[in-house]
Amino acid sequence: MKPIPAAADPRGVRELLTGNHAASYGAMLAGNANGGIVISAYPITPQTDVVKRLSDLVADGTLVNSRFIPVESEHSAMAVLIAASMTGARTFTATSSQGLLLMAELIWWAAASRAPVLLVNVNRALAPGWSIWTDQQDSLSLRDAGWIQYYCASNQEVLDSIVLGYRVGEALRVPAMVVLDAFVLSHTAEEVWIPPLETVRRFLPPYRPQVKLDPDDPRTFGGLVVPELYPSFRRKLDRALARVEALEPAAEAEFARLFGRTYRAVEAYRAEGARVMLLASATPARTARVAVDRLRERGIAAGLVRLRRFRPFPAASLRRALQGAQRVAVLDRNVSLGGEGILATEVKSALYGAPAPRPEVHPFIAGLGGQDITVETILEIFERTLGAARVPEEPVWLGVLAERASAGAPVLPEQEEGVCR
Amino acid sequence: MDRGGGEDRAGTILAESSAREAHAVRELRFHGRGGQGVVLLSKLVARLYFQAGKHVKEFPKFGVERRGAPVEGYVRVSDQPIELACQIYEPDAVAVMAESILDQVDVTAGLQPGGMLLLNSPHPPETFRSRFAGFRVATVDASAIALRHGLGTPLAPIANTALFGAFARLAGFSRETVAAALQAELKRPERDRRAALEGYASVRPAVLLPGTPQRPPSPPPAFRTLEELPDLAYSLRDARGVRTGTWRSQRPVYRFKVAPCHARCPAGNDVRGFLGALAAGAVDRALEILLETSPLPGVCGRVCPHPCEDECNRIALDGAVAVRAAERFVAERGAEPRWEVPPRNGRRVAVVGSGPAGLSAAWQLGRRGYRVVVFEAAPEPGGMLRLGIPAYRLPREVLDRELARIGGLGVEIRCGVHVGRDVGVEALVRDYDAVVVAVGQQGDLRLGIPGEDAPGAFHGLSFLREHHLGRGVRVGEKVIVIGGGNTAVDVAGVCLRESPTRDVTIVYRRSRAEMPAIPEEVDQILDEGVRLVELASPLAVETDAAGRVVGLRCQQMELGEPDGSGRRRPVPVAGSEHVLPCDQVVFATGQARSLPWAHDVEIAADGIHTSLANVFVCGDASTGEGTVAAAIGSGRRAALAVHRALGGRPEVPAPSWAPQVEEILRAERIHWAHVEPQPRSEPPRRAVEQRLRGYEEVVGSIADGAAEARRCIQCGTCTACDRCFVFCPEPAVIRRHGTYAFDLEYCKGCGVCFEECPRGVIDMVEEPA
Repeated sequence: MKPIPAAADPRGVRELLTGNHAASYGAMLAGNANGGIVISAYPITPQTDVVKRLSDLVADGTLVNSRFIPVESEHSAMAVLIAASMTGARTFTATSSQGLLLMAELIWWAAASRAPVLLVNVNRALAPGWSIWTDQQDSLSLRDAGWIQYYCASNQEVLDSIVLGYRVGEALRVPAMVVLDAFVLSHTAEEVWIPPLETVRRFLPPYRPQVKLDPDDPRTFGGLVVPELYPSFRRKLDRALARVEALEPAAEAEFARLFGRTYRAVEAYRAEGARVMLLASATPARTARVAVDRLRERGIAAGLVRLRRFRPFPAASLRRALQGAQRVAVLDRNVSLGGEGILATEVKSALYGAPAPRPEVHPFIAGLGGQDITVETILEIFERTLGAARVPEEPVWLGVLAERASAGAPVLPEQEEGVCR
Repeated sequence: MDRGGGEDRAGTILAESSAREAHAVRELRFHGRGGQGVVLLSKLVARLYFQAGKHVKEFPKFGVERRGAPVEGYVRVSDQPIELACQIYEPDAVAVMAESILDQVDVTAGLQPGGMLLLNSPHPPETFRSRFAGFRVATVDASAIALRHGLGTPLAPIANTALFGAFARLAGFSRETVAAALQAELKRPERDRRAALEGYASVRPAVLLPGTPQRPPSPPPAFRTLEELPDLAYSLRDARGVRTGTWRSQRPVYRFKVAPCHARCPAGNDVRGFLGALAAGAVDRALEILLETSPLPGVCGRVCPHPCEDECNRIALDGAVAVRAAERFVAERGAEPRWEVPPRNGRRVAVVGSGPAGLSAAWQLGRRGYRVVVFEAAPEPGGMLRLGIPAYRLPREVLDRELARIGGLGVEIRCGVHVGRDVGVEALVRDYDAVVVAVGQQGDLRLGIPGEDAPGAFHGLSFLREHHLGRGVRVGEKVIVIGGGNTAVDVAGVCLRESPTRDVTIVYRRSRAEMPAIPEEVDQILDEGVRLVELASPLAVETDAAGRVVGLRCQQMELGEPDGSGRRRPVPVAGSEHVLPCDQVVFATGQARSLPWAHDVEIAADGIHTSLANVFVCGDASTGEGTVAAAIGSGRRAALAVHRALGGRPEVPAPSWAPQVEEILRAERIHWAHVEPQPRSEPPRRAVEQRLRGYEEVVGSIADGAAEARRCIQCGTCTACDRCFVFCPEPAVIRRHGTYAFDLEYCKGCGVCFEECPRGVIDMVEEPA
């Protein structure tokens, strides 16, 4: 593995990287900026390249004073990192899909231990049927666990979100999850600037917690908490998450100054004067820019809001961003089965307290299991939203077979195996 | 409700309640001390009301589950279905299982003035006048009752059922109801029923103590604001404040065990010890350890049948540690320790015979300051090592190096002196303080078959001796060697090298599996071209008219039942006589000892002492075990016997941080998950055609002795691997400079260290009463 050469360009080194390798180098920079990092992970498609590259970087000494701890499961990976974090180490892991859910018990444990682990999750659909392609079901299943969650739209954003995630997460002692779409980012190579370590070091201070495991002053961590105090601990964690709203803008501003790239929890695109807006997250929100451009060319006042941070949920920013729109289409690449798309519920909840006139919410579910989301998909969402006679009671599912057979045509191919192919 | 029993306090408990009248709910609280006792008490009380048709809820309050920690049981009773799902804060009555709880818990918390308190106490209610002023107090000596009925121990009486009986009486239930509740809750209620009924009969009636209830001040809250609360839940005090040792019912102890290799080594070598040193790269130290018990590691590293390897626990994983090869490695690479010749103690010992037993005895005596003279009949020292074992197995320079080592102690070897012929034992006894006879077995056992003395017939030991003394023994063109031991194999190997035709056959009356020779040695000469005729018993050496050997008449045998040695006895097959043609026969059918005294001298059962004062015997002359290692062990024991007989101090092993127990550590105690598989090193062997050119050593050395030694698990001894220290869930393992101890203040007896110790050093034992 060739080390990243020292860069003359203040922006660093311009490279062609997959999302997975952008994650590797993000972790590398954060690790070296700290003077060392503990990485523990279990490989799973489509995350494997993230940790494979990191194990090389540890092995060849590019990552200084660091340990890569191989384990037998994701559950153990997180257990290792919680323990390492409790000793005061900076910690990193990456996983996906089934692996994240196997980790679920300790995802909660990490947050309530106030272990600011950083986890890169490659969004992949859940089985069965078996799938290796993207949707957001895995990470959104753990939305309540007390983690910051960033949904990225580019490989550069993956790298940058890791650096930002450590800065915000460690300051508040809360773990952060940086999420990228399987294949659409993880295995897609894009231009990525790998910033100079010195700049990262200026932005991201080393992690030095005050309360930590100390053999000279042994304490019991995570022991029994009486019912009288348990709610206060939960409240305290929730307060810490709420403080992200206060802390993040300053971090983002400093990031923009040092690295020349700007991020916001909620990002608007051509929102000025928009009457109909799409709320989307992750890579569909980039494709949607093209659709919005086309609609604007056709004279339709369409706009786009990308939700970059899902937890803590930026309700106030979202309300501001959607202000003035008459209708908001919400694109969910996930579903709370028995309910509706998870973003749709959150958006409705955020708008509930907004001053009238509040925009109508038109929920759409699309792209599950890696089904592609194209410009046409986005245009269909806009068209249906604009053409709707009333606010729908149920979300519209795009890209699924018709409810009933028409004119005697079979809904499914006659041969069973055809479905599986 | 059953109001039977005619007691004037019927309904006392419930009638006094003032709270929650609207729902007609009555609430009871029971204080216990850890465990299930208080839970059963509340279940029994609940069942009383349940049997009476009341609606009840019974529930425990779980605290930290730990012996000695207070826990509580609750019962809620009503005539209506009970909707309340919350806990009980203002009980109508309270019962307390042990008086000691009163100092830990405010048992009157939430109890209204005039509320009922039932205490397990030998004292009358008035005793609590100041403590429980304003409450209605009843007492019963439930602990004494429990002990009278065999429930629990004086330290931990099981008082719940006696207290239950008392409660039932105060609440106005009948004896029959009490018995029915016990029957419903317990599998074998007999003793508890007797205890409950005694409690029922002997409870001291409730007395309203005068005065106003004194409430202890409630302790300040640990945290008043969220800011004061830490971010995460951790113990505010040093975790060592929780003395988990009180939970323990068994305890771990460090105990070193005997390694099976060490136990089995006839020489008594500390196999584990020398391998440990070698593994750590301390090859010089490894040699020192070997030299403690044996002056001949270079010899044993080549010719020992290595019974230690048969016992090696590692066989269960990936093959025994190559101990013999490792010993040879150490003998070759270890620097000779600089022996300081100890100050002479003025005593003189004669050793008769310079074979391995005599050399071993001389070595141990020399190291203890004795002046030792070894008498050797042959022209050169070494006994069977020089005159029996061929040089291709034991190069003579190896032997000479070891002899030089022994000589370095000041041991004098006088060759060419035959004790018994040139000098008498009596003379030695006169001239020396002690005599050690280590003459081995020099005589050939005769088969007693016709032709045994024909020209062309030899006996094995004589043959080897003549050969090794360079006296040019004749080797025929077609040689038969009779026997299955190492002598037969060595004779065959020498004949193969000396014979122009290399036509050598071993004839053995049993089968190969029963051959007492070292299996590798048998493999080796068979590879070299020796033939083996199994199950053939010699009947006669056939000779021609000139008296020359022409063949060996044999009888075919088959294997029958096992004999005294455990090997299957060969039995003749009728009509199977045949003649194997040959021009030379060597008998290698056993040796006999020839002790250097004419009259009867008895050898004691220990194989060391004799009926002559200060005359000792060792090695094959005594035991006949026939291996170098056994001779070395025997020689050392004889030397120690001499040392004791001449007033030497008994030698005790240096104390270690953990006691050594006489238990052999077997494979089932090895934690294999901690042992990395690693294939055994095999030493190289010279190609057959090279071997047959002469007497170059057949077997070579392994390249990396330390790597092989690292395969040793170090069974039964501590290697400071830290597993116990790392795995202990409490701060109960104390590590100090490579030694460990258990801190019983914290050890809760969980046994994790015992499970995780890779090499069986930790035992779990019952907690002493």
